[in-house]
Amino acid sequence: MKQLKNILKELVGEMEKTVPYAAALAMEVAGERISAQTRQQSADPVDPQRGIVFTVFTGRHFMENATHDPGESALRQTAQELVHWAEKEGIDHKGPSIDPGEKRGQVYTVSCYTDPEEIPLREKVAACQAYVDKLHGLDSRIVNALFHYSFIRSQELFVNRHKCLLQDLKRTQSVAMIVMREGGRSARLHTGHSLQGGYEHFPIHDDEITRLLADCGKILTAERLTPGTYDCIFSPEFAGIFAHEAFGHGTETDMFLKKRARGEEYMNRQVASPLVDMFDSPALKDQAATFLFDHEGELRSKTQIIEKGILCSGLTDLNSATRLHLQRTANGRRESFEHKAYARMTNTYFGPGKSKLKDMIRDIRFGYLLDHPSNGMEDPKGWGIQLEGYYAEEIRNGRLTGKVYTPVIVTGYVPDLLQSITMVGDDVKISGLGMCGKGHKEWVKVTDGGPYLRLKARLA
Amino acid sequence: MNIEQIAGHLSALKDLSAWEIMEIESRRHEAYLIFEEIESLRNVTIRRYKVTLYVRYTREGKRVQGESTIVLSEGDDIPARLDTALEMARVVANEPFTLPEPPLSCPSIELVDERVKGDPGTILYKIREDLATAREKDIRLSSSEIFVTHQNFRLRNSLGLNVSREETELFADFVLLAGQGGKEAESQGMKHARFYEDLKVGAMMHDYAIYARDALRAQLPPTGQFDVVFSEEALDTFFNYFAVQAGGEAAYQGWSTFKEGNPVTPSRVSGETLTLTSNPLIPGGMKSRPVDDNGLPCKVVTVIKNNIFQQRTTNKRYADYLKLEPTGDFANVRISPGEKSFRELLSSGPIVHLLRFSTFEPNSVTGAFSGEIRTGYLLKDGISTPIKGGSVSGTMHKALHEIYFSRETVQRAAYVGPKGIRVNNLHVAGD
Repeated sequence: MKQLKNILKELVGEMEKTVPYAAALAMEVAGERISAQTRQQSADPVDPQRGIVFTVFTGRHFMENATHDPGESALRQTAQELVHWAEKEGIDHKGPSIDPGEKRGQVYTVSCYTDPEEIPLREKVAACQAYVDKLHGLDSRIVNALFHYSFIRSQELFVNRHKCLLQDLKRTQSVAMIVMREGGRSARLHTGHSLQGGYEHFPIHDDEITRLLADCGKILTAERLTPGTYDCIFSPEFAGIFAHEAFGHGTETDMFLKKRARGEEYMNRQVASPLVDMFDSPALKDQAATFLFDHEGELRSKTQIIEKGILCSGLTDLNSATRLHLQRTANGRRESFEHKAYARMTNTYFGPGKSKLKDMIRDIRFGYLLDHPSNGMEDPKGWGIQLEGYYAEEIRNGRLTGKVYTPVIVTGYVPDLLQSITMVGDDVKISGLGMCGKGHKEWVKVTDGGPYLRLKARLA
Repeated sequence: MNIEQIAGHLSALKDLSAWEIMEIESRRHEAYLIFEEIESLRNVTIRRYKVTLYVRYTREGKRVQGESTIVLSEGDDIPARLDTALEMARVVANEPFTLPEPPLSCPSIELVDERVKGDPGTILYKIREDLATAREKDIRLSSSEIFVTHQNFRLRNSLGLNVSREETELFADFVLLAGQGGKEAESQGMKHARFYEDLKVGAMMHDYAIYARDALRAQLPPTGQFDVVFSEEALDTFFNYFAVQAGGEAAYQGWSTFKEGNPVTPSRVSGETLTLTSNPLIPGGMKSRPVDDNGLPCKVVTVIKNNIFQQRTTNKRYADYLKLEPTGDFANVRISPGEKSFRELLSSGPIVHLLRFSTFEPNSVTGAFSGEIRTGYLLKDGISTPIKGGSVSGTMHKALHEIYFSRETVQRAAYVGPKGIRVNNLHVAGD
């Protein structure tokens, strides 16, 4: 990756002789994915997704040419073709100007306490298999168990006329999944984590395994709840998916530009309970979506999206920030060099409050604690939201009864849900297993989280 | 780097019991527009090789098969990368299976639009024009994305198999806005097609303009038990549970509940029964292909007939493991039509008619489903009221208790079947 620095700098300079702005991004992914399940194993190097994308701004719009070939002649040809194409489209030197940022050369490297390469492959496969065997040993209702470990190293080099930035990101993910069956009924549940670093993050704590088995067992015999509006407690994981869907997608400013997000009209207005703070930060320590710079060369910073219930900032990519005259945030991200950059989330979470879980439950006469989210979807234009999960535990007279319902779906109007928050827990937890799509494609790694939240929600 | 070069390196590796190479060559032209303005134009050219290595050895007295898959592209040190994959294959212990032999014949399917292949830039421009001209006066085209792709796949394996396929793919995604100022609503349409003639974005834009207008006055659905008719986008993923449960992997991993000769729903049914076929040979189908990823010629398989499970869809691996006839993985879903007309399905209300969800993906293990409604209508007393928000939920088992299929059929990306499907007594949650 470092070897590409000089040639990319030279080509960006060459391209800017013709176009008002040029940049290059080189990406390469390496690592391994190992999994064991009840009757099958796998061990594969990750798809390297190695390639380079050249970007130019013609004064009117962006144009990109991407290639898998890192050879010098292929790079020169790709850059030259892009410039010729831009000339054909027409160049306007009086159009909006792209700020290349301050002059900066910086290298950011995530270190591993235990380098996965130091652990013999056989040992890693055996460790995955040991989890599978352990899960089967703990509960005879399990018909299929899976343990998946992956280590992803992503090297990214961004070059424009002022910046030459290199980041070497490493993350480790471990997931345990089980399918239980009894009496003709089946249930599936998973647990795990994804964190920056190395093999030190391989193990899943025994408490998590115990909780996985217990909760899956409860889901196996659970019925569906009676639809209605209830007092609810969202677990930190459920709060995370709520943050992501509610005002994560709703504040991606490319959606402002397309007039697809109502949030644009509600900037600096109350959209949530005054107890609510919400953030997006690629600078969050050790989290899976943490980085130094985004895929358009913007250095990381923490963005406060909601402060005391007031919507105060969006998440920008280069195009929407330029067109809308917004401050850039480091949210211009792409799935790979083959894909376009959009405004995307990173680590998105509700900030902490002051309440303890037991106090949040204490005066609920009848409600549910929601946990184990599975997916969600938001409509930034209409502010409708859908959150799905596997687990709703009944609360009666201030106590969790142990009676569980599954699956559970939350639907509603985003501001109604956010404004109904009456208590916010004091401990934020981040969940790193998520991936996020834009619409139904463009998958990037994100995390989300928050503390326990108490609110009113429509459940089905 | 080329496929022969990689095959040469693989042949020189001593321990291999088998290998496969899939060459993927892709050229994609993309346009992104915000309102009428271009946001970005992109060209992406990719050539890569997906190589799978297999080794056989004895572990604890049992013959096992190790395997690993690696992706190579220009600039890679081929021997070094293959060594990495080989090292990984040696630590994996699976039940052995054999790769497909060279096929005697492959089905022929039309997957290439020659105009798309020959002049992708012009086709991209034409789709852009189609979107612009189809826009209706009171509707704004907020954004659109157009992808025009031409791909070649070539598969070789160590048994001498050498097959290839070529395909074109068009994708259009558009967002329409209705209303102005404080009261606006959107509808988003997406369509994949292999041939330009099948894309028909103009007609689609007309329908989605109606949905956007209707969304301006849409209400939450009422809460309760309703007979629900699914159509349009709601059909695309409706049968995924059956496709996954019918697969070889679900059976081998122990979580398929389907048994050959048994009904797929445990209870008695009224209404019509489900007949579901995996069909890889539908011209223009997005999951149509002559051979599967291992080079096995794909077949039409009747998976469920009149609610009775008939046959699994399996690739070569799971066919060998389960001692079944290999069929290739599940392809396009074809559902047999019913006796009633689409209009009849929508009569005798109140009926909830659902066309689009924010997401609708039945749980592949349990069959439970729920979806937030994006576009729907409550049909009651001869009046059609647009609905939006709220959800429909149930399980696939219960859905089959009383289900009706329209006799009119439609072809969507990977679905051919009834234009509408009516499921009685589903739970709708809303106001």
